[in-house]
Formats: sequence, structure tokens, C-alpha cells
Amino acid sequence: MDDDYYLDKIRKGNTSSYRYFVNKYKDMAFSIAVSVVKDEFAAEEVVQDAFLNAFNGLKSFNRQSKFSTWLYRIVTNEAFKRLKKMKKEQVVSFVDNYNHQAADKSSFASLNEDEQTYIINEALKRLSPNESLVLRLFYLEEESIKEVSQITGWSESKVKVTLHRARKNMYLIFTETLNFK
Amino acid sequence: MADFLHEDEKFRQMMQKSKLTMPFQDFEDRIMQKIEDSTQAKSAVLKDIRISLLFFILGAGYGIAISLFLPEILSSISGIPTEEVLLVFRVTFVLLVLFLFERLLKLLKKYGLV
Repeated sequence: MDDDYYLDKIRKGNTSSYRYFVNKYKDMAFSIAVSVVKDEFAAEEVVQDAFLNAFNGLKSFNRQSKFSTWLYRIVTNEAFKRLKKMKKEQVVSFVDNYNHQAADKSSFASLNEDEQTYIINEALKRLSPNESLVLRLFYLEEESIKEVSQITGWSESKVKVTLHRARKNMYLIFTETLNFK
Repeated sequence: MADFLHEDEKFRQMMQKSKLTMPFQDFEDRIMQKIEDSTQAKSAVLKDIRISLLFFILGAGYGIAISLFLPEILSSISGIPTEEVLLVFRVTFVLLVLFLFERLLKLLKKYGLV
């Protein structure tokens, strides 16, 4: 596995090999950070701190999990630490009786690729940090429930509940944004 | 159930569009530069720690030598019996050694040498 190869190189003193990890994981790390802090500049600082902390903590990485799981855990912790400082939260109210079957999704499908990307990311910004984080980890990075639990430090049941609520809230935001029937 | 799985798959496809790319082009270079700087700083600190350890050992050795051999060389210092002077010296010496040893240990732990 490439990650193991470059880890061994770094442990032997070849610090420039760390660029491999920065290049490979920076985009997803940035996506995770934005999910939590909702601001690109703050997210960039979070990811920077996370990569530096990961480099300094490489000795403690025992390869019992994937490197990505370990790194994303660091990114998540840094992001929530930053969020505490920022004291920012954007929450959408959960509507218990929302029926996503009634939504007409043709409006969304008729948009072009860039517009769809924009609406999805704007919707994710409006979700709470926990919900947008868990959606990106589960659906975008395709981590399992167990891996999401390891990254966030939450119990698996909390991950499932948050995921379920996040999906419903996403549909709610789409409905509001695109005036679904 | 089939509908739910189908919806879940569509949701998954939709979420693939949520991947963001790091918008700062020089991000990698900045990170690697910081790592290079911190590695060099750590190397310089390690050198200073080695010198500190050397002087700590020399100072402790010198203090022990004074404590053991001074009574044999001088019977009094400025009119004060050597034993009394040595008592104060030994207490101060032990406290200083413990204090400096604790500080050195913290420093070694901080840089992962212990």
C-alpha cells in the first residue's frame, strides 16, 4: 500500500515524502473542515494545523486503522476546536413529518453541473456541523459507519441518527431552495 | 425497501458533487516549508539539549566533588566551620539538582527523547 511505503520513508528521516500525504488528502481534509467551520479561510488554517499535528504525531500512528481515518480524526478535532473559538452554528430545524417522497426532483435535475454543485455545497453549509460532516464522510468519502464513528469519536448509533437527520434536512433545504412541490 | 436503496444511491451520487478542492494553490508548498522549518528548529534544540545535559552532569559532578573533598582541604571558610557551610551548600545543591533534573526531563519528553 502506498501510504505504508511513504510512512516508512518518513520514519527513516525522509521528511519530504510527507508531501505525498498532503497532496493525496488535502482536498478531502478541506471538505471535512469546511463542513464544520463553514468558512474557507478558517478551514484552510484548520487543515494546515491538522497536517502539521499529524506530521509531529506520526510516531503515535500504529497502523491499526487506515492513515486516512487517523488523519481525518485529527482534522475533525482541529475543526471543532476552531468552531468553539468561532462560536458559529447554522442549524436547520428538523421537520419531523417531512415526506421526501412528495418532493419533485426534476427541478434539481434540470440544473447544470456547476449549479448542482453550488446548491449542494450551499445546502451543506446550512446544515449543522455534525450533519454536514457525517454526510461528507459517509457519502463522499464512503467511509463505513464504524469508520465515521472512529473519525468523529461518536458512538455508531449517534452516527446513524445524525446521518438520518442530515439526509432529511438536506431534502428540506432543497425543497426550500428549489421550491419543490 | 428497493425504493429506499434507489434513493440512497441517488443521494450518494449527488453527494459526490460536494467534494471541495483546496482553493489555495501554494498550500502544499507552505506546509512542506513549515515542516522543514520545524525539523531544523528541532535539530537545533536537540543540539542545545545535549550541551545542557553535558553541563548538568559536569555541574553535578563538580558539586559532589566539593561536597566530599572540601572538609579535607579547609577547616573553616571566613571563620565559619566548613561543616556548617557544607550543610547549606548540600541542601542548596540537592534542591538545584532536583529542580534542573525535572526541567531537563520535561524538555526531553517534549522532544520525544524520553
